[in-house]
Amino acid sequence: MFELYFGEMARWNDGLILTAVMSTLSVVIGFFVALPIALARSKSKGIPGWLALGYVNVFRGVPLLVLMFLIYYGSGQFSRELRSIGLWWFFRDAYYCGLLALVLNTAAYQAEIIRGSLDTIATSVLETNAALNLTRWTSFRRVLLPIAFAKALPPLGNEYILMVKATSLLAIITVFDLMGQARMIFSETFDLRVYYIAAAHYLVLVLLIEWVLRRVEARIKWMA
Amino acid sequence: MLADTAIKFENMNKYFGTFHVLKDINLDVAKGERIVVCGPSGSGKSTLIRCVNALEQYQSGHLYVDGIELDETPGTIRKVRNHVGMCFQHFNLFPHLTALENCTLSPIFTHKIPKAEAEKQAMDYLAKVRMEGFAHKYPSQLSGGQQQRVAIARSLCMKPDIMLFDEPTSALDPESISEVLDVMVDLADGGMTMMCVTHEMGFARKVADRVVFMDAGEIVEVNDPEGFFANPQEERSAKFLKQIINH
Repeated sequence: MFELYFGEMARWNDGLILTAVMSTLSVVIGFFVALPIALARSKSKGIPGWLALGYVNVFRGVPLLVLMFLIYYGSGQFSRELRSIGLWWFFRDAYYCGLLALVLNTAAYQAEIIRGSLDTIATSVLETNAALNLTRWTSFRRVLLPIAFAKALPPLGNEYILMVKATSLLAIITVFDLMGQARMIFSETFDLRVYYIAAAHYLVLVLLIEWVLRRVEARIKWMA
Repeated sequence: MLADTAIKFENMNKYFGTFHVLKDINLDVAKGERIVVCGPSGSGKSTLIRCVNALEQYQSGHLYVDGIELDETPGTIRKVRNHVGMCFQHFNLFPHLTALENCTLSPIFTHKIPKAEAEKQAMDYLAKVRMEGFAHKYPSQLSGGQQQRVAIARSLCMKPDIMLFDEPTSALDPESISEVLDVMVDLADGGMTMMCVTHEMGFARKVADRVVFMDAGEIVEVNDPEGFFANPQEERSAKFLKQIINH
């Protein structure tokens, strides 16, 4: 087992870093994609609300792996069109395609998390904002969003951890994340213990994230 | 309409759906006048003062605040709210902001006052409510009475002409009640126009120019405090007073 790890340490480290980067990037970008969707879901009864609901339903309903296949392999069908609009550099790259799929997927889940916590904000807060004559933007950016974010932090952390493990699907579209490296090393050694090492990496990464999240939650002392 | 009228209700009616909450309200509040609104629960007294800063809309009649007739257009509502501060029963401080930040949020982002100036002004008002030592505490670290005093300072930072109080001491323990009332007395002595829904009859006696007694959506009696407490003109006010004194 040790030689499988220490002998291939450079590759394991590369995989670990890529997994951490891809999951973190997708969760962070996904958060900003999710914000307007959550706002539309929570506050809009018109067309924006319907569009937001449509987005959430589609991207929660399609399995992440299928989404990755559709974006990575599916875009190949439209390579000429994508070239002509100057987007081929993006869609020919498995890393970008994988990241896009991850973002689209996590944004749908995060939008629902944030919508949920926006909806739990008491009407008394909205009345206070009105009485203080806050503009709609200030009210959202300075009051509703921070309160909603603090309430949403535990489920958002949960989503982050889920995304770390979901990135393992990237290996199937030729990305060398942890799972990709593990498959590579396995194909050279045919030693199944490779996957124990991969599992241990994921576990350590998740425990690290949990520890960070606990500290962040503790820092939000005004929640008490 | 008199130039020194701060708030004027004219045959105002309000409904919640089919329920007639406020019935033909007529009341003039002069500038600098202190009005205490009392009455049994469900009588519409909170709704009455919530109309003044357009937290509630009325359906017929007229309501003038600082000479502006309130309608449902956002522009008018914004203008009126610039003249009116409000304190709530449950303080409603923003939990994620310190006392100081609670006070500077709206001046900085609504009135576009530079941060340093807004903070200086907020510290002055926090000092006025004797909370300057707690400027950097979060609401969760403050007692109810302290939170309400910060909430009063927060409203004052908007430099209102009129202050509304919606049962500001109902959620407080006796000790906190007096610290909040002291601040309100200071405010009244400073000449602020105030409309206050409260059951604190001692406060009403001490600072109110007039007491408005409401029941079932109507203004039943408007009287000066001495007259109201000693010699209520209406049977319903007399009954109400008996109940709150005897408990």
